[in-house]
Amino acid sequence: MKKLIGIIFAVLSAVFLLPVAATVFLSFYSEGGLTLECYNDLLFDCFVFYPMFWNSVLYAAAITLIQLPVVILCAFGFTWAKFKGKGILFIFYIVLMMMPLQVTILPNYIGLRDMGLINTQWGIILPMIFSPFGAVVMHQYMKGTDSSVIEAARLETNSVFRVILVSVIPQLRVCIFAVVLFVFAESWNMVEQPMLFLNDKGLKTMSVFISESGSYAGAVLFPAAVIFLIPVLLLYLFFSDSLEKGLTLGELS
Amino acid sequence: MKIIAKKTTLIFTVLFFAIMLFLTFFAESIHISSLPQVEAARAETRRFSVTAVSADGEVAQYSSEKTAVSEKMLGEGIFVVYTAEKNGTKRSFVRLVFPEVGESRSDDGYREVISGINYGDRIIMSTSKELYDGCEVNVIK
Repeated sequence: MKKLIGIIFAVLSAVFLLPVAATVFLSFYSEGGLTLECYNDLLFDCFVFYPMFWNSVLYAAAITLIQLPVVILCAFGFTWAKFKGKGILFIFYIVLMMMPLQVTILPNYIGLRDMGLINTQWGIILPMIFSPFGAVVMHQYMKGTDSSVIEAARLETNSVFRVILVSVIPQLRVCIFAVVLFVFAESWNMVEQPMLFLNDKGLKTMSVFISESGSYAGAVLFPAAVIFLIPVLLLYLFFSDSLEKGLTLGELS
Repeated sequence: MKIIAKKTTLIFTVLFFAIMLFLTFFAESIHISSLPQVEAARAETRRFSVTAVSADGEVAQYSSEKTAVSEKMLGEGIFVVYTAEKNGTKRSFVRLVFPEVGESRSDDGYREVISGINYGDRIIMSTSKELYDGCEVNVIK
């Protein structure tokens, strides 16, 4: 029985890995056989790719770094603060999290337009900072943390920030890594926002480059897709242990 | 084992971003250095005598300046430089043309161009590599 389950999972993994393997294979494949020509086309003949790559890095890093303190404070408020309407507010958060991007993107666009942030880097970063996903995950995890440590810290200081820094964050380390990975991957993969909120080609991201790869000369799609995979893969390799622990403990709590 | 894996990941990450940074600044220079380095010049002009016949049958002869090419260049065709946008950047390419030439011939062996090369077109005078129709080039002069 165990063997059969093992085989089923192996087949399923192969099915999931097939598109990635095909992408990597096709990035080295040209009419003549296996070659580096596609990489040559992308890296040495398509210079618009580089600004887009660094834009993706900038947006994903900025969103992750700014969102992290926001979601920690938000989750701390939902978990430990006592105020009226907390439950309803949290339900709103969950509803917002469940909403598809296509529903929220128009209100986001109107808000950004009115603030004059369309076609700016902040137009991409700002809406993503307040994404409810991280706050909800962090809140779920925070419910399982040791409250006595927080109470002890409260006796030592009146500063909420210090309480969070000393007693909450050390307990949240695993969850923080998991959230960092998810938020970075989400920001790295975004396509609709840069397509809608940005007109200037110099501000667009790598995901837009991939979606528009047909308009570039040479076989740039597959090598670009492979390079697109690498940063998230590296981040996953860094935080894979924490991610597994974070998800398991989150479920348990 | 885990520490080695983390170290390898860290080294790979640093390498990856260092290579991307290097290519961001130098990919264009590397590409340009791999192109045929060409010298181009405006198509030359010569004065050719033209015979005109008026409506009442009067024959007049005068000279006119026309685009001209050396007879030596006509055999294998002439590469004309043009600029076009490729992958978001403006670049120089060459087009192989076999110009139609007239009967007029200057004293120094130039033939009048009737079509194929326009006044002001830049034609390739020398190249570091073999050219072909549609080839991207780097015009150094």
